[in-house]
Amino acid sequence: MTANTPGDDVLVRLRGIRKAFGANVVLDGVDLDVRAGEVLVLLGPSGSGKSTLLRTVNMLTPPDAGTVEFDGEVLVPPASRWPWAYRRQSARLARHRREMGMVFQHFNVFPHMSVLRNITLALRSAQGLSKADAEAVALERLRAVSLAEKASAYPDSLSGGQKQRLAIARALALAPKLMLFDEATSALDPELVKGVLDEMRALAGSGMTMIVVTHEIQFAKEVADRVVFMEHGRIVEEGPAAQFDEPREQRTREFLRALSS
Amino acid sequence: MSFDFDIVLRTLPAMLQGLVLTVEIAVWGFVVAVVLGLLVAVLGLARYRTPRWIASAWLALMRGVPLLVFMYWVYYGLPQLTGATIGSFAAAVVALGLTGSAYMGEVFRAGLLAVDPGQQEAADALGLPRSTAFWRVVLPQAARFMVAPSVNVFVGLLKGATIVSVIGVADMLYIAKKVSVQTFTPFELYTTAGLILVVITVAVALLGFVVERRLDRGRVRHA
Ligand SMILES: Nc1ncnc2c1ncn2[C@@H]1O[C@H](COP(=O)(O)OP(=O)(O)OP(=O)(O)O)[C@@H](O)[C@H]1O
Ligand SMILES: [Mg+2]
Repeated sequence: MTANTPGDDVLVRLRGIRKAFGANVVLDGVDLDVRAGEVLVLLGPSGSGKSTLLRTVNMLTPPDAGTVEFDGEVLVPPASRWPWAYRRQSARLARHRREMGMVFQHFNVFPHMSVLRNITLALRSAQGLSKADAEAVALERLRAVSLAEKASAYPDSLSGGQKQRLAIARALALAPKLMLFDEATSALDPELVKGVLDEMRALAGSGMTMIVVTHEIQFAKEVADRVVFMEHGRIVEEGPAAQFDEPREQRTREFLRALSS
Repeated sequence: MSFDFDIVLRTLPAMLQGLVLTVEIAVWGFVVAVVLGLLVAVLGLARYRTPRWIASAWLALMRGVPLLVFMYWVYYGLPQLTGATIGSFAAAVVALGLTGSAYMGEVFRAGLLAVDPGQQEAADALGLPRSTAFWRVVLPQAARFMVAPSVNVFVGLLKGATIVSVIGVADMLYIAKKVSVQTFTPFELYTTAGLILVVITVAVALLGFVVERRLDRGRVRHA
């Protein structure tokens, strides 16, 4: 058991999520609840729909059917054909998205701005902080990921691990209630993985609600309150991390064996 | 035959005065092309079908009509329609600007599409307002891809601007033609005019290069 036992209140509620790209059914009716404070790890073979599921949570990929509820509110992707209604819908979704941070496999830091500006941009333009306040928050966040001395550098001068830590700091600066990680360490050189996993571990320890897609099975067992195993767009098995030492399903066993070999 | 430098030197001041007109027309035409081009690109990338259709119709029209015909149409044709006359300078700027807007629209569109889609996604995931995502995240990165093709469009407009004498602008070529007819020195004067335009296009290309370097600030060059 982790130190922060998740509460009973559900932060993310997915119901009947379906998504197809053309004839390729990628999510085939997924139901999932994530409680506040919970660290949920998504496992599954390549193409099983992990990334797509994660992206439905913040509507980067709106589902074809089903509902995503975040913090008690149903998320609606902007779809109106009327520009003013579309604007209102985008603004509402943007407000929700500020409460969910996302960390991508390829970092997606903004290469044309300094490390500091990467973080202050959203603080200033979305949250309306003054320049001084935004920079104070940003510096504090950078210090937390040991990047304060890089504040005025550009991302191209950072290592992959530093870029990813910047991306984490950028997301955390908005004080989100939920963090989504999509293979945050998969694009890193092996020696840089640990630094990023350390940040994620600390975050999990601080009680942040997290949905984590990863192939780092050891890390998953260590931080996860619950593990969900997906295949062909469905949840095959889910349970506490310990259960994945002795998975019930044959497919899960095969997958874990292949991963550790 | 011998190259008559004397006539070149005597005609050069007048030609350079005409050149100022040519360049002014090209620059103003380019300004119009950039502003309208951004609009055309935004229409072309819109979520709705109608604006996208308008953008491609505009491109088809402007690419299809020869500049000479279009200039005649603006200078002689439009006044017949509207009853209001238009100066030859303004007509040239309008014709070049509208033609250029279609090409700049394509430059902007291609540049915007060349930016890593992960950048827009990161902006979306951060909950940035859509205008911030466009002006602060995507467009500045697209700018890097737009410089070189923009130089091409400007050079195209500059060359286009050399035909403005057909609607009565006393530009460099108008002077060259007038003087060469009087003095039988077409070789000297058209060579001079051509070289002057080459110098200008090279200068513009260098300027584009400098702008590219500025936009690369902070970037590691992967040469
Ligand atoms: N934008 C898209 N357009 C078309 N097909 C897509 C798109 N995104 C994902 N897919 C397809 O959906 C399926 C599931 O993709 P997804 O990225 O969710 O899998 P994953 O479980 O994250 O796999 P991996 O471990 O390789 O990252 C794949 O077959 C993929 O090709
Ligand atoms: Mg994936």
